[in-house]
Amino acid sequence: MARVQQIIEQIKEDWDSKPQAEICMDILDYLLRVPIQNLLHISYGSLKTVISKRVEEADLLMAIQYLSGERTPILEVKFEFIENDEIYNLPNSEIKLARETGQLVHPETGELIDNFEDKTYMYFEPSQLAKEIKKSDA
Amino acid sequence: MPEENISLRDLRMMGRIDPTINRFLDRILVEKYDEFIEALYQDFDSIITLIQANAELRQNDSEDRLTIDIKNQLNCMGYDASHEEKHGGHTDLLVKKCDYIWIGEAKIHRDYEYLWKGFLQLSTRYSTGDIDQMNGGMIIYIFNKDTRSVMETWQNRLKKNYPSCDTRACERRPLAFFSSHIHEKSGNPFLIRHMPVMLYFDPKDRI
Repeated sequence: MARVQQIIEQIKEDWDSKPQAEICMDILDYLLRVPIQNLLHISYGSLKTVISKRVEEADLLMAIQYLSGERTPILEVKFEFIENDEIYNLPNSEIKLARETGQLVHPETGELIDNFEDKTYMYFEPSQLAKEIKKSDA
Repeated sequence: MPEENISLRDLRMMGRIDPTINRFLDRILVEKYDEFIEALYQDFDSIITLIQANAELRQNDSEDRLTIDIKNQLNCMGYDASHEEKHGGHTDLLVKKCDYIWIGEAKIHRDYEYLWKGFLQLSTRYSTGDIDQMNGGMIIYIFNKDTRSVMETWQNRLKKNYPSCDTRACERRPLAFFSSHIHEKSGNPFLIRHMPVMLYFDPKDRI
């Protein structure tokens, strides 16, 4: 509980009365409340649905960025390539290379992917810290 | 595209509207020290631009107030930034990401001796110059007019006080400059970005 309290205090300190404070609290509550087996793949849309108020996309993204950063790391950002209902997880190094070169290689065929930015998505998992907190609260 | 997902293109398009989001992936994908520093300096420039845009509201701000505002904005971007954290002394600004550290010394420009003192604090007290902290920064709050002249004089004074210290222009922000010297403790090159924050405010329209 002490670590949860610390996270809450940090969110309040960093965001004060900005909308991101409430968004971060809602996401934290969601991560703590939902069983871990239901948090293995958290889509952007899932995070949107746990926010109690209607929020601006930019505010939500800034809150996600914060929660997957260094100071309050409760989310881990992951990437997946989806084409023809096939889903491939991509390591960060592949995304980094793709952004540098403007090219992404298909994880199975090895061929260059057309318009890879449209087929590569961000999703989320609870971070190691969030998992530890959930485990200690169980 | 499944409606509930966010693609790299969506993110890039959002980034055009909000520069903070623009570099979201850059920060997430940091692996090397140089990448950390590159992302951090881009973020610094955005933050400084915002502060400068409201210079009229900053006329009574102290060094600490200004530095705490920078710290808060860095934290919101996903860094772990602190003010007055103990690291060889109480640092003005300490930024961590992954296992990397960047230390900043913040000074309101009063005179060049005061800046020199800050440079020495940063170089010889707070930093180790080790592989995880090869860069640091001087954040110089300038309430005087003609920032370019202040920075040029400071650069010349630095070279005079420390002849073996090299300096070079900052390509992205010409008012800033870099200095490089051999860190006494580590023996490694230590690179410092000297970043002005322009806070002069004297509108003439009501005279």
